[in-house]
Amino acid sequence: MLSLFGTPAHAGKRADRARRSEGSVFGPGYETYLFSMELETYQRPLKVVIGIPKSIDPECVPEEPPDDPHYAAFQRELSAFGRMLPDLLQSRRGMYVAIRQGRVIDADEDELVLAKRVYTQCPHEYVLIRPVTEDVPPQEYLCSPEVDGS
Amino acid sequence: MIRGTLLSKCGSEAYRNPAPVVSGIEIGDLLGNTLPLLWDGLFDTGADRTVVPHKVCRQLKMIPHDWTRPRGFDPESPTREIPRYYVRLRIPGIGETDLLAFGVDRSNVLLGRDFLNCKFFVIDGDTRRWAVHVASRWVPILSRCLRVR
Repeated sequence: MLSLFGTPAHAGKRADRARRSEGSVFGPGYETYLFSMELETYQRPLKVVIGIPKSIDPECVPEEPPDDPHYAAFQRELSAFGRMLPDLLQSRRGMYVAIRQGRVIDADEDELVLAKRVYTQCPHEYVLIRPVTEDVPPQEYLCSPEVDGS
Repeated sequence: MIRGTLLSKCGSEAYRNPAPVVSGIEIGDLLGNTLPLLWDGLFDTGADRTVVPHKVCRQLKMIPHDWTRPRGFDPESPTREIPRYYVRLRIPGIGETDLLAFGVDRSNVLLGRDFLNCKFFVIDGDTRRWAVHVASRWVPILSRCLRVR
C-alpha cells in the first residue's frame, strides 16, 4: 500500500504533516516508512509515507515459480486432486491415482507400476500421481550439507 | 553384489573424509530411455530420497512427477521447490532400480535411503571398504553381522 500525502500546494512543507497523518491512514497493523521523492506531477520534492502490513516481511522477496513448462499443469492437477479427494477417499482409499486434465485416468495399489503404465500411455503429457489418503505427505530431508540450500 | 573402497572424490566433488562412491551408474526413465553417460554415485544415508543430476532429466525430456521442498541439514535454512522424477538407475553388480528421485543441478548421484533400505550396505571405515548386497540373498549374513557379541 503506497500513500501520498498532501497536494501540490503542500510540496516542500514540513514532513511532520505526513507523520501526523500516518496513524489514521494505516492503522496499528502497518509499519510505516517516510521517504523523500520527486514526482513529475508535484514538480518539487515530496515526503512520501509507505505503509506495509506488519504481516509481510519487507525483506522477503516472493519466490518465482520453477522455470518448467509443466509446473502450471502440476498446480492445476494438484488443485483438481484436492477437489476430488473426498470422493476418492470413498472409492479408492489407499490406492495411487493418475490425474490428467482434471480427471482420474488410472489407479493402482503400486505407485511405480502405475507410473510405468501411465508414462507408456501418455509419454509427453503431464500426469499427476498421488496416493489417496487424507494424510499430509511427510517432510523429506536431504541432510547432506552439500545439497542444503541448492 | 558390489564392493569398493572409500574415495575422496565423486564426480567433480572432492571430500575431506573418504566416502563410499560407486561408479558406472546409468540413469534413464521408466520407459528404458537412457543417455550414453555413466555417473558416479555417493551412498548417502542422510538423504531420504535419491538425487540425480537435473541435466539428465532435461536431456531425456522427462516430465517431472511433482515439486516439493526438501529440508537440508539446517531446518532454518530456506528451501525451494525441487522437481522429482521417476527414474531407472542401472548400477553394475546391483541391477536396475526404479524410484522417485529429486532432480538437482549437480555432477553426481546421491543414492539415498529409498535405495539403500532394500539393500545390505556395509561400510568398514577401518579398512576403507564398502559393499552393497541385494538384501534378500544376504539376510543370514546380515543377521550374523548385527548380532551383539
